[in-house]
Amino acid sequence: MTHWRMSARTAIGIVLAGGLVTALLWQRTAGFSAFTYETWRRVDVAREPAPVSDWRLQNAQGDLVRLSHWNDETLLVGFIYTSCPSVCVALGSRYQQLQRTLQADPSSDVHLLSISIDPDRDTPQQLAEYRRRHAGRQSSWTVARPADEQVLDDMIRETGLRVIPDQLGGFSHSDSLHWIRNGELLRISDWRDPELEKMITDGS
Amino acid sequence: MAAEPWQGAARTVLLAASVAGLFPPVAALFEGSMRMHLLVQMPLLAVCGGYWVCRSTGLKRWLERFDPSGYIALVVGSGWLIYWMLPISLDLATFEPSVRLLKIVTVPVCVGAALTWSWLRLGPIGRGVMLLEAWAILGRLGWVYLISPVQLCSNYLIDDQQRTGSLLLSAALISAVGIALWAVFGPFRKSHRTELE
Repeated sequence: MTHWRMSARTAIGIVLAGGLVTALLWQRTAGFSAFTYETWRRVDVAREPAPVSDWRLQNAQGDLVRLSHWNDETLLVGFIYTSCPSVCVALGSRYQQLQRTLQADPSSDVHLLSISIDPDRDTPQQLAEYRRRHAGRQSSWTVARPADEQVLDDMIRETGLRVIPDQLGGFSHSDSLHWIRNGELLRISDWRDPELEKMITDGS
Repeated sequence: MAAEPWQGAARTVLLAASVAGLFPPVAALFEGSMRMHLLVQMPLLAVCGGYWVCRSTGLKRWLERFDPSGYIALVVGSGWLIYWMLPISLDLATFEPSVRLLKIVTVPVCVGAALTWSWLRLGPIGRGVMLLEAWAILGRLGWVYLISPVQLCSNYLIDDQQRTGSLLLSAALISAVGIALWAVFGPFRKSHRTELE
């Protein structure tokens, strides 16, 4: 014999409340798949590509280029700053590997683009030095900085990038790679993803 | 019921501190570090709601009508607590104004008030389960933040994350020791020693 009783109203209330909270959790985590902001960005873009404006950039030669310069090519965009001691070094090495893949496959229409989030300190000379450090070639790897603050703000807003200053005078920033084609952000990948080479040769 | 003046003052201060979290300078203070956000602002908001339940007879009467057992409040409160422990919710609250508003409005009501009401309604076993679960949450979350090699919140640096983790673990440890002492030496002791048979 049990003393435990629950009114029907309470039972319905529990089910409704549980359902509502689960639905909200489902919505926030994109179906229980994204628990951090960085993974959420990836899921969000995979669901619906986001338009990006025609960013004005200055490359390592000091020339102004716009994103539309690479129309009909797929850009693999990573954000860096040249004085970064940690992840940007890893990103540089990764781009070096990817560039080797690109050279082995001349039919690929992927172009590598590293964009500085520290345009004040990253002069074209610094940018060229960054690529040289990673044995990169100009042909399929552009290193650039936003032409002005407005472009930097646009880039951050349109990609959902998070950039926060750290205690060492640098930045902590998203290290994901962004696939951009014809003014659309199509996909965000982890730079460690071993599938990247395959995606490059398959034309993603 | 005439509230004593200090109660009115405490309520005003709590409410003001919670609502002030909507304004950029105060928000920057509360959300500037993970420790402040998770260990100061969130508890402050929750306490604000708990205080409301304890003080308002009108609210108690309403809850008595719709959730006499406190079970619905328990489901809402624990579910919403999980929601706000996700790194993504914490992150979004720092730069999405709509999520910040959601936090300021719902954490007092759906976490603080709901869990306080269910605590008031539950018996000793239910309360024991709530306490154990609270320690488990503090321990799990603290452990994850302490040992995770990756930065889980895009807005908080990894050393801030690790410090938050150790603070959460310390909170779990201190409250566990405190409550264990209270359970052993507190009011549950038998007042008369029974003789051994």
